[in-house]
Amino acid sequence: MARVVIPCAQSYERVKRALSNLHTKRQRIILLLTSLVPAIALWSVQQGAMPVDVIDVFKHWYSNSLNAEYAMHWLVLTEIRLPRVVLTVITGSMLAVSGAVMQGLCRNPLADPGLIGVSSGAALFAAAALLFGGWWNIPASSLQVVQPLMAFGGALIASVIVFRLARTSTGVNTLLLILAGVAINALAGTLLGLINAVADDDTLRSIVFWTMGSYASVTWLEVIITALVAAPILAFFFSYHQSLTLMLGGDNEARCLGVAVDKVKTLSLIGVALGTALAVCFTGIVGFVGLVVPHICRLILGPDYRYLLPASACLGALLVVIADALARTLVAPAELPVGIITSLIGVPFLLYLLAKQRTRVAHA
Amino acid sequence: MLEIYSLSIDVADRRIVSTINASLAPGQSMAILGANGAGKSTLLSALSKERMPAKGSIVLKGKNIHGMPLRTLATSRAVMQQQQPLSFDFTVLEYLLLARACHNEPKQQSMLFLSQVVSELHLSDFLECQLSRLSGGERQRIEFAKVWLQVLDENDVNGKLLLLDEPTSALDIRQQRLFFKHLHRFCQRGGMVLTVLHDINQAAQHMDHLLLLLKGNQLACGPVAKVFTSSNIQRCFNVDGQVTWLSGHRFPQFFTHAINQEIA
Repeated sequence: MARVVIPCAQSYERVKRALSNLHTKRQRIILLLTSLVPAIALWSVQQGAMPVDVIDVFKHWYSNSLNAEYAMHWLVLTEIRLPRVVLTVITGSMLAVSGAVMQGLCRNPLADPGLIGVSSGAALFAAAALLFGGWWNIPASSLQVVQPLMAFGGALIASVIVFRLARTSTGVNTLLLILAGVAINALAGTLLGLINAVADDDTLRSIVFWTMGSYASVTWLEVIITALVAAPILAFFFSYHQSLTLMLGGDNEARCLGVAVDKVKTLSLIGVALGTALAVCFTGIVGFVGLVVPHICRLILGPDYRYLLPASACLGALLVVIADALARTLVAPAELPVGIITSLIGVPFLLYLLAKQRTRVAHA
Repeated sequence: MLEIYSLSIDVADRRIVSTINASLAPGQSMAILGANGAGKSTLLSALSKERMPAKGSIVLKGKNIHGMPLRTLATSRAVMQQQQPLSFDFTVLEYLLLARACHNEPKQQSMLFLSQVVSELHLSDFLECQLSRLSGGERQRIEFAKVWLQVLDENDVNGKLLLLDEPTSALDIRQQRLFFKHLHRFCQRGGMVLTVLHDINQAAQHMDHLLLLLKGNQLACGPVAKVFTSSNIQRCFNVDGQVTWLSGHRFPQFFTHAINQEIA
């Protein structure tokens, strides 16, 4: 090791102790959240119109003694519940991490992935797929493929338009990004309103249900596709945690500290667009996860992305898993859209944050 | 050593700064002075590599900064911007540690350097505080600690450059004195400081060299005693007054004429 000027020993001990306290507390919280995810997922898998005892079913399957009843439970477990819960974990993580990244890039704790038009673009194109599917009598089996593809495409088209509008000679301008997002969201909302106006009752109901999010009829193929795309995106965000943290102080500040700001910003926005498009294309829009979850994590763990990203991923997964379990049990055998549950949790929290901000401003 | 050769900077196709020549050796400090709109902050932005110059070059330790990789430059020079409002609240410890991000080093090394700066600037009591709870003067001290920590290495801060943009604008007179004390200590260790200041008397008192800008052009550059003259200050700021060396002080001060004298 190179020669270092040895500092005051007392100062070193204080730094070491403070750092250790900080790190230990945060590690414990992340460990707790990580261990809760499989536990809550296991609980969720058992909830529904037909309660399933996972341990019991596995015992019977393992001992090759599945009777008609347990065979039905096995089918429900492996073909309906498991893919559903796995997808809630993946999409919940993806939405929460994307929200955390957007809030950092915009340096605004109220930013969320929908800011760049992803959700509204997806909703518009999904609604168009349902409308034209009804008009042209496209079979339901084909629509199951066409609709997610169009939703994904719509999400990306909206994002690309927002990026192009926000891009200047010096890189992506954050203010232009927000303004362009507002404009594209407004445009997509208007066109969606037009579709709603001309759609028949059944199509309208399908559109409304899609825009509120649902994990019903999730297949393993959808889970695999989502996992394959989400994994590298999440890995990218996790590997760039230091750059994302440094960018919280501003673009110039981060550049002065050696961050390739334009590269990180562009890649992060692409990651957010792809990840969010993926999270909504099969299941519709699950609101407030990207806004509320990173905010809660930041209140507990601080803004350092080394802790914020894994915590957001875990808490996002937990929120959507629990919301989906409630969605399919509260009015069983019918299902509520999962977006309603996340909104019921998210809106009061947002109001609480606003009230807290008001108090802070009043006392400033 | 910092060397600026024939530096010109354009903003939106308009020449803002023209043909600046200056140099700074390790252990020296320089203030950039000029009227509002003279190009001080623009010059600083080119020196911090936020802006590409239209002409000329900036050489730090024998290398052109515009050819340097971002990380290498970050370990050789640090920039202290004017205080920005916080979007997110860090603890002082976390915030300071961000300064070591550009150094590829083990965690223990970062802690050693951090504790050196903490000891130097008496920050031990602030480590676990949130930044938002600090006063203006305390926050400024933390910002200075951060830039010091950014350029600190096994050779201390020898030959390293700090660029400061109006660092004392929000500080009371006591905090300003404390701040300049820390600056002097930084220079005593071999560091170089280049700062934009509005208070010309403060610059004359605390800095070694001055660079005067007049409408983007270099009016004068050199040691304080040579540059801080009545005619230079009058031309630079279009104000009547006189430079005086007060007895018992080793620095000059500029005094404007009383307003009632001007009206009369």
